[in-house]
Amino acid sequence: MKTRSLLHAHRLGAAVLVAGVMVVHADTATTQAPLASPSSAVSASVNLKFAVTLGSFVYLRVGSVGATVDTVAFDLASLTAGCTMGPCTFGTGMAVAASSFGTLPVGVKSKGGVVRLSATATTGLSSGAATIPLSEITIASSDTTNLPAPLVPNSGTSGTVNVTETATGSKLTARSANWTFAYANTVVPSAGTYTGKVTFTATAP
Amino acid sequence: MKIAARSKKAFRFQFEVPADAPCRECRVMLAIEGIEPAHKALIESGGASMNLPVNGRIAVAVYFAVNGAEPKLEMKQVRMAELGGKRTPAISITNTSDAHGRLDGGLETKDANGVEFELVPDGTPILPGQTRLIALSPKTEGNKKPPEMAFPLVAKGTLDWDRGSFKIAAEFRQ
Repeated sequence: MKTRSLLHAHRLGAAVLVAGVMVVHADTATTQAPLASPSSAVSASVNLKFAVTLGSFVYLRVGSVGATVDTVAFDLASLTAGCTMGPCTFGTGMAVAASSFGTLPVGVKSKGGVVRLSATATTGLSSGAATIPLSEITIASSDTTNLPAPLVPNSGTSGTVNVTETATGSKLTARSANWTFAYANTVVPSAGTYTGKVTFTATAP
Repeated sequence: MKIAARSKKAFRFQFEVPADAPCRECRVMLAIEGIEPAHKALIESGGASMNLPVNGRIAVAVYFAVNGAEPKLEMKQVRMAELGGKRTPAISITNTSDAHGRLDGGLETKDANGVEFELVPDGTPILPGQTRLIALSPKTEGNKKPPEMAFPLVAKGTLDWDRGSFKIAAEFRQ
């Protein structure tokens, strides 16, 4: 019986999103002792049906707390060091770690159980007609088991990765990790200024 | 829409279902994201520079059961399986109907060392037409680590779904 109640609360929570709602339907019943024995025991029963909708929420933090916009920089000078003719070591797969702010703090919280994370290539990396595949950006999580980073796709939305519940079966999720960015360096980009955008989505499924 | 830090904003949404809509489930995702990027990746020097803002977005899946759509889950197998690179107890479930379903409940379990715990299913949705192998993991409290399971495990109990339940009595061997 307990598990059935939990099941209903969970389902309703998913449907009503962030609202906290309690719905109660009650019958009324009145019972009187017989006139001949006014002190005799009486009983009355009512049927009380109620459903409690637990508010469900999802929280995602990408970057520092507050208004700061973290900027991670990759200095590719190492790919041209001592080299006089291109492409030097561009495109060799020699990954380049970020030179500053390469680690991004990420936090996920939810009351809806497992949270799914995906990455969407909102805008691909392009400079005029030239492009760099977004998959050149790789992310390594400090907690691959509980808060892994999704693969950055070249276009569209990546597959999802699961952010695990803090305690299995609790429906509560509160995880944090550091994601470290790197440049995979498997292509030789044309000179230019490339712009793009990646969006990470945390979904309570 | 402007939302102050650590505050709430309520808003109402509704979907109008056509009167002749067939029996089915509709799924939508309500997604909210900020205007300013949370993070920027820059590549400079080497003849190329790159500016890659990174945004965070939160989303909640909303399911609409239209004209009586409902799940129908069937249990196919209870067995050990390789999930997430680890051998774990699992249950194979098929949803043969037209709305998503989820598993809940748990199995009272005793391992080879006599340690007792509860195996609980992953509560993520099983979509219409989908067959999923769902891991059964030891239930934990707070930040405690799950118990190291000594096989074989003897498990017994009921796993519930929206319109029914599966009674299970199984032994899991690694």
